[in-house]
Amino acid sequence: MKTCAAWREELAVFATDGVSPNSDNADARAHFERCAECQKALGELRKAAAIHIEMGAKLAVSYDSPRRLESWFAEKTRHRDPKSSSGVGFWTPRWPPYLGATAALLTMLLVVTAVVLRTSRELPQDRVPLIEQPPSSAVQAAMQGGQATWQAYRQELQHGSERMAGPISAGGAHSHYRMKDAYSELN
Amino acid sequence: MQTLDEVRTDCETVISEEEVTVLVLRAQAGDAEAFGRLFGAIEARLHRQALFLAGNEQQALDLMQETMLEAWKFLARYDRRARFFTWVCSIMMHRHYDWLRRIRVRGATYFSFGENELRAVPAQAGSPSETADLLDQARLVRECLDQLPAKQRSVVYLRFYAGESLQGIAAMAGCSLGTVKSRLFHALERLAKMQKLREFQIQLGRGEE
Repeated sequence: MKTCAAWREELAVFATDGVSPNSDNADARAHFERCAECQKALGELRKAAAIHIEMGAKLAVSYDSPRRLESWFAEKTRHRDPKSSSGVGFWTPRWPPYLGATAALLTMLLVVTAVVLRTSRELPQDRVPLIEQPPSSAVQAAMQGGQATWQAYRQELQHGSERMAGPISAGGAHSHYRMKDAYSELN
Repeated sequence: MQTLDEVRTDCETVISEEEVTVLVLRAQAGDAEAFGRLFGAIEARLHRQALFLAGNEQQALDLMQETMLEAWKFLARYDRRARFFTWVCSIMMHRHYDWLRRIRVRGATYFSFGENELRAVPAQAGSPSETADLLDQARLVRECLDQLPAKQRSVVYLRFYAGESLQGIAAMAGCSLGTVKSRLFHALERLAKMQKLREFQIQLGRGEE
C-alpha cells in the first residue's frame, strides 16, 4: 500500500483538474478521500493552482487584436537570401558588441606577447661580446685562476668596457677571455 | 472558476488542428507564407501571453517578433508531439526569461505599467478599473512565477497558460510523465507558500491600519 509521500505527484494532478493521465487515478482518489493530511495538502494546492487557472483563462479568451506579425514577417522574408542554407536569410546572430572588442583585445595581447617572447630569446646586436679589443692587462693578469678572472671581468663590466650575453659565472668569464685571446692571436 | 478543459476550448484557434498541421508541414518545407498564416492564427492569444510575460506593449511586441523568428529558425525541430501554440509559447517563455536574466545581470528594472499597457489590454476586461485590476493581478501572478525554478516554472506556465496536457509537456521537455507531475507538485507547493506569505502580509497590513 502506498504512503502519502508516494501519492504526492498525483496530488498536483488532482489539484489542477482531477484527471490523472495514468491508471493510478482511482487508487489515488480513494487514498485522498480517506487521508485527512492529503486532503489538507490538496486544498492548499488547489488554492494555489486556482489563481493560475483563472489567470490562464483570462489570457486565453480570444479578442480582436491588430494583426501585425503576419505582415511584418512577410516584409522580413521578402528580402531574404534564397541561397541561405538555413532558410532564414534575414537571420543574423546578435553578438553583443563588447564580445567583438574583447576578442580583438585578446588577439592583440597574444600578438604582443608572442613578439616580446621572440625578441627576448634573440641575442641583441649590442650585447654581442666585444672581441675586437685585446684583453686588458688586468684581464691578462687574472687569467691564471678562475676567481681572479671573475673579479677582473666584474671590474670591466663596472667600467663599461666589457659586456657578455647569457648567464654570468666565473667559469663562463674564464672561457670568454680564452676565446678573446685566441681571436687576438689569430689576428 | 473555469476549469482547464473550458480554458482549452477557449484556446482553440480560428483554424482547425488539421489546418495547423498542413501549414506546419508547408512551413517546414520552407513556405514562409504558410508560416506567416500560422502565426496570424495564433497571434491574438500569443499577444496576451507576451503581454502577461513582458509587462508592457512594446516589450510584448518585441518578444513576439523574436519568438516568431526563433520559431522560424528552429521549425525543423518541431515534431508535433505538443500543440504548435504550446511549442511557440515555450520558445517565448525561454526568450523572455533569457532577456530577464540579462536585464537582472545589468541591474536594471523592467516592470513598467504605463499607459501603453493599459491601452494594449483588450476590451474584454470591461471598465478601466477592471482592466487595472486585471493588470495588477497579472503582475502579482507573474512575480510568483518569476520566483519558481526554471523547470517548475516551465511546467506551470505550459500547463495553466498555454493549456498543454501533462503528457504534452513531458514530450516537449523530453522527460517522463512522473517527472512533470513531480515538478508540478513542487511548484504548486511553493506557490501555496508564497500565497500564504502574501495573505499574512495583507493581514499584517490591515492590523497596522
